[in-house]
Amino acid sequence: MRRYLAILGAVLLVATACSQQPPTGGQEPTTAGAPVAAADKPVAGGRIVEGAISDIKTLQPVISTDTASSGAWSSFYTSLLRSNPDTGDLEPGLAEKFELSKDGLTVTYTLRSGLVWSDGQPFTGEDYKYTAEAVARSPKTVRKSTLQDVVGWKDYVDGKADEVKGIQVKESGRVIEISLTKAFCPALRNLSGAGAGGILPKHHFVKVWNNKTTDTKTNIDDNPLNIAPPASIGPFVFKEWKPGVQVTMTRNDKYYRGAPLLDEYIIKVYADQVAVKAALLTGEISYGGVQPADVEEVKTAGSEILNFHRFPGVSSYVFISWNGKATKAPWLGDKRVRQALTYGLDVSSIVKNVLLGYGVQVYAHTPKASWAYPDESKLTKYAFDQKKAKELLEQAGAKMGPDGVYRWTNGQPMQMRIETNQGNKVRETILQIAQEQYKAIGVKIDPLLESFPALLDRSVPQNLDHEGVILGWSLGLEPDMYSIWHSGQSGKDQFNWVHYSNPEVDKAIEAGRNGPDCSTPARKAAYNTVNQHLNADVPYTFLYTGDSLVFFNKAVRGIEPKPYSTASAWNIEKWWLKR
Amino acid sequence: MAAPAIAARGIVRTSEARRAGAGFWSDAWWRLRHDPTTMIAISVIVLLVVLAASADLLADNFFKWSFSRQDLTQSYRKPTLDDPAFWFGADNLGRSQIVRLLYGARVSLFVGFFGMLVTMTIGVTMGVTSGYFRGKWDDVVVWLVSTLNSIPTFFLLLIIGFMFRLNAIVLPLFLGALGWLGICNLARGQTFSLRERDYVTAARTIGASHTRIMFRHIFPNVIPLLIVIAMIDVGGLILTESALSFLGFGIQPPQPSWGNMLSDAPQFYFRGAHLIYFPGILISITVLCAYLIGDGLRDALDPRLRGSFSADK
Amino acid sequence: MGRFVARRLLQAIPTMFGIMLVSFILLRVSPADPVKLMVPSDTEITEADKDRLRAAFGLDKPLPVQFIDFTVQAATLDFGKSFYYHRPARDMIFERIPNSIQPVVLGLLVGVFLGIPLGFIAALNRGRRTDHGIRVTSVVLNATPDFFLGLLFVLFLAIQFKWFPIGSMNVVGVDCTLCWDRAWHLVGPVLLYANAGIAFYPRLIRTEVLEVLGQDFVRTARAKGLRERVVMSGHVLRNALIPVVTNFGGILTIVFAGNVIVERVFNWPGLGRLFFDSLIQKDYPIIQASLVMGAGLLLISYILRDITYALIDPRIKVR
Repeated sequence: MRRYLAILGAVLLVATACSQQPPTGGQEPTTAGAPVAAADKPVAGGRIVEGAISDIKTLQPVISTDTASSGAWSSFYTSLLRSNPDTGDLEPGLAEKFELSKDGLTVTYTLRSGLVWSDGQPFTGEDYKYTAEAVARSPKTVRKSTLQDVVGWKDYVDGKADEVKGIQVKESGRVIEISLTKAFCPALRNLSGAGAGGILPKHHFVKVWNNKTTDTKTNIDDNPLNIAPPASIGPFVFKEWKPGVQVTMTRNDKYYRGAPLLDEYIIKVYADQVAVKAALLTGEISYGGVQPADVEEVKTAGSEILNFHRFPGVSSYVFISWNGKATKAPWLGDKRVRQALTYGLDVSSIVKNVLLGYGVQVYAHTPKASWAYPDESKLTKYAFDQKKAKELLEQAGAKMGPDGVYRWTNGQPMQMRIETNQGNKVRETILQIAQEQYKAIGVKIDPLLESFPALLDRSVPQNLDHEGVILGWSLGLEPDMYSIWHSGQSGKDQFNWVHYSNPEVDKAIEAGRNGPDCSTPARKAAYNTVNQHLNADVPYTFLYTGDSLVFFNKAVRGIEPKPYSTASAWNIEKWWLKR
Repeated sequence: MAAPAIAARGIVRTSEARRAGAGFWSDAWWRLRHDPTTMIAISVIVLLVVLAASADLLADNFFKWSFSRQDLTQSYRKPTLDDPAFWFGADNLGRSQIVRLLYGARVSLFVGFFGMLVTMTIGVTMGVTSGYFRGKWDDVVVWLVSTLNSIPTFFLLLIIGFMFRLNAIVLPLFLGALGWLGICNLARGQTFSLRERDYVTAARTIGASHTRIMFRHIFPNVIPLLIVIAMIDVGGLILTESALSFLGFGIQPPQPSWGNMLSDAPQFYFRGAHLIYFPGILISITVLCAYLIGDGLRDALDPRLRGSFSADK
Repeated sequence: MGRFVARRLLQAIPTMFGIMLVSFILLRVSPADPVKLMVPSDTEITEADKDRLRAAFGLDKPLPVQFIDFTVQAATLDFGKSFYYHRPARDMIFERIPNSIQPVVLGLLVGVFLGIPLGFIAALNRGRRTDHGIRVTSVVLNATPDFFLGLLFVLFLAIQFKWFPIGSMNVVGVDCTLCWDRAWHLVGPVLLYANAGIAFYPRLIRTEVLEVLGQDFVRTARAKGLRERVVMSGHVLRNALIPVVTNFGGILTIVFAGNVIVERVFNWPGLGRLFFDSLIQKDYPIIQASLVMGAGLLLISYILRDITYALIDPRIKVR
């Protein structure tokens, strides 16, 4: 699945000195070793096939909503900045300089000189502006909120202006200056993709939709270019799309980081994880992701042709949320009870046995690999301790009942539901483990499996009729966590469905998001505060971040795993095929 | 030997209706006892029912392994005679396959038989009443039947399975609600001819109520044919359940069903082929037995229908 | 004949309406609206943006209005644009039809051309070992789930012996329809579709042939001294084939159901896969279009069946 690849970049741990070597797995040596002789010299040519398990829907960023599609179009349309593969910091991409003003109100990007699209046309700030304006007028995009603080945004959206005043293109297209209505610390990263994530070639798209208009009826949502990208600023150029089958792309000789060595890059769609696994083993695809449970099997069966790579996840984690306002479980409002529930669950054994070690335990919201990760020594680890869990329950006022189940202060037996989505084998297993282990500390759990849509409908703030929910967050590299933890985010269908409310956390989140000091140390301090509170208040029992597990065919060379590349293929132009 | 009648024209041609009496059933039983294939099939089903019913007992006392117990050190263990729990090997989570198959038998058999009862109840009620009353009600039933008939049923089941969480009770209800058409047609056809019979006319003349006529005079004569179809239905329902569960839209884990045990099957291509064979073969055997019993019962109940067989898959 | 067809088409309208109503209600009462499902963990999207998306998809209108829209769409065969692909659902279905239809048609043909002769052979060898063999095989095949056969095919022929590919329509890099590569990939799916016919026809034909053989007109024909071959082809075959035609609708239903499974087992990019994926994403336009077009096809096949039935069996009058 492309998701793996996307993560692959955001990933990599080992900051080891193996940069000269061919792919080694994260913390463990590659399966069959096969270190490549230093004499191996990169050769040009060849084709790489990636296995994805979800169909590619569109090749146009503004209207794309899923990772399979973004995995495909990101080869043609990119954002202005990249993440440094070693540190995760922003670094120059299409823009060679970028700056957020002191007051946090102005963002300036300066483009590299001599950038050209694959068809030879120059890449300018007008392309950026066009893309942002396409987002503004698209009824079907899901990305408008990214740009909502740009000056003049609303007027353009409503058709009162024929351009977004706040986006100024200067110096014959080399400088993009964006004015904001209020300070927004994540702006540099968030705005670098013009709202869409990938910047479109205006000179082609303007033929199907002209952005210089007040007519809000017209938009970019439906046109033939959406399924046939006309030009590329990325490493590959679109060649052919066979719906439901594959997208084929060829080398972009004008790629600003140098023409790729590979001739062709194909993303092939499979029905499921299993089909990808089979395709890996038969050598049909050059790389693809697998589940923890499959690793041993693929290693064994594919030792001849495959190398294993393990990339620690940097932007996701799995948790059990505890609804602080649950009508049927009033005890969840008490911090000590939630702590007891966290002590009572053996998370490290879950990582070991359910994830088979392919993951790390987490203690708070911000993932370990993020620059905003808090000082771990100040976090409580909640090592598995059933005695302590029981003590905490009793401190909170619970009394043991005759049936081995605690009674809450109001006499109610401490019995509640934990639910998760059916079909997710790992979460189903965690649920079963939680049920067993909580029984031992006198809390009775009724496991409940829901379809994913039903679970989405249930885990919302306006529904107080849920207690524990096992779900996962998939986060970006930007640490802002406003919509998940701010007390103001408990409205209808918002994401603070546990009704977490802590004034100090609110303050720190606001400081990290809206300044006034948007410098990295200031933000880091703010998120340190937030994470320490979350760690102590345990509105969730934080579980783990799973690694992403990828197998590469041994013929693929030049892959350089780094801890923080935002795309697996951060150096795809250097990949080559051993023949 | 009379010409074999057929059961193939969509609607089975009605056989000569006959009052089902004591002699009829004992004749049938005699014929059945002398049909080894059917007797074997019956024994297999009975054995499965007994095993499924005693799954708890066997798991606790004999295999000493509950259906949800995992032991990751045993994952993908090949079938072995050393430990009863691993006679059929272990699955990817190190759970005993034989115990899970036993519990799976519960689901399959329950879905098959309970679903059949639902199908029968709806089908017979609709069929007999529409055949008996005719007129408007008949038109409604015919419309319903033709509507449901042209729905790609499996698509609809997928929708239902995805939107709602199906369990072993709800699933057969849905299956029944969508699968009563054939039986309704049969019952309706039979009723059409039966209601013109002298004895029915006679019953009506002496003032018997509609309910009484349908229950006492028509229904018993519809039964023999229905029993045959019922068994074939059981087979079909088990197949549908397994297909839905295979796609992940049927019975949900951790509750094991033969179908959902196979939904993980492709995972096992390379390491645990034994996890594919056993559930699949069990489904085939069970369905096969149901079909064979249906076939045998037809021969036993109405020898003139011998050799005809119209199980739609 | 024209009046007959017209009448049947008219009758099909309320049926179609019923199907649409049922599927519409099922989709709308189910949990989570499509927009929410589209961005389940996008925490930054605002409610206003979600409402705008709903409006763009026409989901903001009252349900009865949505249903009327749906009926209009069905009547014009324009089902609107997919929520995810942003392209007309109809086009997406049409572009997948060729993919799906290849294995289906070949499978049906293989099923018919294997199944019917087998039925004949069984009937002519009634009671002998051949007869039993054929009957047992077809019952066993009938009792085996398609997906299990598919799994066995992949397990043995594709993975163990590597005779056939694990799935897909072509090897990566090859793109052709009339070529060996495609034929090679088609074997598995075709066999699975053919299974329906191989399991179904022999028993049907056998019964039918036996019945026809016992009838007066065959005895008369034989008594007249007609050669056996003439009797068989002219009288028996013609009459025995009637149920093949009448049961074609039934086979088609099986194929529809099998479609989702076959395409999943063999990673075949056809309609079944599209439907399955769309279902999981609640992509209404595609789900609704598939259902309406699927049901429409079934209805048409029933009408065709009745016409053919009338043509080959003079006893039936087309009214």
